Amino acid sequence: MSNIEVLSKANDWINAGHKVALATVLKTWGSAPRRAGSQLAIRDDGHMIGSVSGGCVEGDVVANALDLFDNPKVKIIDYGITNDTAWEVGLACGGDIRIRLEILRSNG
Amino acid sequence: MDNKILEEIIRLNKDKKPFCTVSKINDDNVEIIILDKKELTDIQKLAQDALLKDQLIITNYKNEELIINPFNPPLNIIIIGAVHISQYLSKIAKLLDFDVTIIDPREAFASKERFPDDKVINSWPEDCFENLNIDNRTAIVTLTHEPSLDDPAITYALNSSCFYIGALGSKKTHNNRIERLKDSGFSEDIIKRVNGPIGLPINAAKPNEIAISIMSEIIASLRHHNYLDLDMRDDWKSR
Repeated sequence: MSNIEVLSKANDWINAGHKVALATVLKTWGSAPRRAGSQLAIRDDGHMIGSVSGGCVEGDVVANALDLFDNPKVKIIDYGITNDTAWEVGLACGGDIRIRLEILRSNG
Repeated sequence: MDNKILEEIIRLNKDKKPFCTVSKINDDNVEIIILDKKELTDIQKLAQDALLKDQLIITNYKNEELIINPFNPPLNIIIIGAVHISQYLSKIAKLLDFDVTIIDPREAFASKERFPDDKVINSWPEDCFENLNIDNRTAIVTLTHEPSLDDPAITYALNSSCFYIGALGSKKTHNNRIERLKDSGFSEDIIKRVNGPIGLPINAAKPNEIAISIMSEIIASLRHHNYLDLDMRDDWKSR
């Protein structure tokens, strides 16, 4: 699944009247399953396409996205072994990742 | 990012144009950067770097942290020989987001029935290579075992900037091929670009397994920038 496939699906969702968030891996340290640039699109009903990790943090990213739909802004989220959230969501790979989350705007 | 930019991204990628999106780290406005002129601006140079590395970069520009995300057109694989292995290689390559082109002048091989979903060119390699866009995001694979078909394609590949060349055949077949390439004027260093016997050593036995082995080597070449110089690669190829 390429980023273009993720963005195409995000565009389809917007055209169908959904709100959509886009998560992008900005940076990784140590062992991380997805490289910087990897993207995950999240629909307002929690449906998702793409990935930003090996499934370790997607659940938390989706939860963050659902909160962000009511208050659209850019949010930077760090996951790692030094971060409490990462323990909760279980970053099994032992690496650290920085994710940027934004809400895609619809201009009609 | 708004959906107008999203649609522009999808359109440019469909047109096979390389480009980058650029945004400030805390701002959701996005600009699309296309490398359309010879004289590149500073931002375009950064975009060029990201496209070359095929990797998102974060950079400090005029005291702003910028995210530069490259969108390269799909990688290409050109397969010489519409043979049994090609039927699987094409499927696997598409899974890995490659555009696939298959070349074979033999109509019995290059039939629509055998390759219903593929771009198949029914001509000799030397007659169609000029028209193919071969660049550093192209892999070229010869699978016919037939020097009259494989050799012209390999010659063309060696004169191009393609990132991978692989030729099917045993060690003995490959040694004969090396001799022919030397006779036609290529140096040993240049001939080393041809991966033969083709593929990673997974003891592949069936056409679908050989296709996996070939595709794995293509990925190794793509991700190891020094794949040809790896000791383990020399070890595998000399077995």
